[in-house]
Amino acid sequence: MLVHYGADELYCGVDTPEWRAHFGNRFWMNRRSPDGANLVTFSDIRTAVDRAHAGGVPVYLTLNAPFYPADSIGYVLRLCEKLIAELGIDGYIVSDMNLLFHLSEMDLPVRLHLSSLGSCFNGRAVPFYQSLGIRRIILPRQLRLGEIRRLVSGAGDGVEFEVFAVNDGCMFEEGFCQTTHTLGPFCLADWTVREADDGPGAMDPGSLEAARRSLREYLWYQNNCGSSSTPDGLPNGPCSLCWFGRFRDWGVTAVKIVGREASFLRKMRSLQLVKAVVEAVNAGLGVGDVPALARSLRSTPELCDSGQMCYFRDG
Amino acid sequence: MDISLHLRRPGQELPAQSVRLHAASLYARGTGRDPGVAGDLSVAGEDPVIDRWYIGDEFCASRLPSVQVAAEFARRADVAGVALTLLTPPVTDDQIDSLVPVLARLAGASVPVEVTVNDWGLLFFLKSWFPDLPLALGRLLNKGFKDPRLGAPETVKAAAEADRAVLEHATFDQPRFRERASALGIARLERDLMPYDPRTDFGDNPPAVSVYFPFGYVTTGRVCWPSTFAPGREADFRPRRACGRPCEGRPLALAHPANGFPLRQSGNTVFYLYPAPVTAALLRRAGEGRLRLVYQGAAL
Repeated sequence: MLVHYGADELYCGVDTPEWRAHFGNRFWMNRRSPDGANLVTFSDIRTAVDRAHAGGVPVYLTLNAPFYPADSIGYVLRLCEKLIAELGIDGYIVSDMNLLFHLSEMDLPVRLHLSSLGSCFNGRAVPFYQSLGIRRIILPRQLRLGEIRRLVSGAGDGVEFEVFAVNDGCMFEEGFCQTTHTLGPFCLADWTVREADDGPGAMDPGSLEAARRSLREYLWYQNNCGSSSTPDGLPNGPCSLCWFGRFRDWGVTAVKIVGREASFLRKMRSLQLVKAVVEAVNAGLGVGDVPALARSLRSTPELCDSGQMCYFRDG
Repeated sequence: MDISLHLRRPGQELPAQSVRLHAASLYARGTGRDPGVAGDLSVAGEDPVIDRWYIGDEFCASRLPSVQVAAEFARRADVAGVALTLLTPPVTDDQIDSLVPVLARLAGASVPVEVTVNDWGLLFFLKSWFPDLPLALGRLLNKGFKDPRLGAPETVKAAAEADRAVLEHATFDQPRFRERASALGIARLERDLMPYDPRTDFGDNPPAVSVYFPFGYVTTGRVCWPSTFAPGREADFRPRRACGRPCEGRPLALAHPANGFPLRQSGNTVFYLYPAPVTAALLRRAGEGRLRLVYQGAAL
């Protein structure tokens, strides 16, 4: 379906029976739940890879857990070799530096991409990642547009860049968030908040509560506008469509549709939405005309006007 | 026992004999689960000697010192006979540019200066442009399990072996990582304690180890809720070019039934408070002279 609707690349996660037997559902092999967001059997992976390759589309496997415990590294490395040799995986998306150090020494015949959880915020890190075999850097969510421009434009040849296109925002910088999604999103927990030091400068309760309402509203937007869609199924939620013209001009290679755990419908409509803008941009649509196209496709002016749904805003 | 102090501003220095009492007050104030155990801190080993100040910030570029403030810290450190460590956060290219004058000022200081980096790009920038500054890796690069929602530490003591491997993992403990860090010229690895890992002994093999206390960090990011407290910034959750730091001196206490630890938000970062016995154990360990402790109770 995804290839049919125009995906140029696919990425997937895996939850193997061996991993599940060892860790259960308590520690995931990547940042998304094994229930619904990952392929489970090698047969499933093979089917996905074969069909993607038939359409000329590469498949990357995400191994972007923030860390892999010492007793699991050997298994992960053997799995990497197996998936290449037996199933034709085209590359890995990684974030754990310890894992990356190991992979860089294995000289695997596939691409290595740095996950957004690698938190690459500046161009000074790019040569280092290149030296480890990284061919593409997926930029973190919490960059401003101007920072992306400087980073991408100054990086030179030899490394590609990918940015988030739609879905799945995050209150914190995911690469530095040491919480686990196995317990649900930390940022969406209903915290009780008070000033820790009740001095004369403390915020009055009314102002603090107003600030909390603002935070809850922002989190609603980051959580895909309460996991909502338009009446015709287009996904609401964080979005960088308006900036696609700029990304094109700066040399960004790929835009990422997030949400492996999403429904079939949400994935399809996300892809159709993004593809429509990508095709227009690739056909030469001017930078200044892209936002109008994106907004017209979304037809959610009130959500767009809030600014809370935008990835990468300058400020 | 040598202890480093993390300071927010010149003049904030604590007398060495006050550190233990200051730490104990964090527990006695009701932020700890066992305020009665705070007394352990007063008897854990000998009184410290302050031999180093940490300045700057690991999490927020807006909390980095200006050139003038850095110069004042350097002057006061010279008078006090202490060394300096500049803490730095993850940084963009523009923020690296802004940091250069501060680095230049500190590189020319009359006291020993180290830099702790939490960003690979800044590490390599410093190796090229300030090669004489000793470098440490900060705790944002040390990944592990820090979610406080598993409950109180005692509830997970009987965890299965596979789970313990997760709970006790730290990037900085991995041999391959340590080899690479040493090869890169990293002199020191700076960390906090994983909330469900009771260890306070990190061995004697290089690189050397520092431990921050009494808080470990849980999560952070460039989107900062407290920054929206400033007038005119309400509901503005964009990463800032500049910030008036409405978070200064205004930590928030976070509570939730699933929490195993008192949580505090200082600026853009959420921290957990170590149990008092853990802090006491750290102080005793430091008394053995095998690790550097960095006290952040006054800074956070």
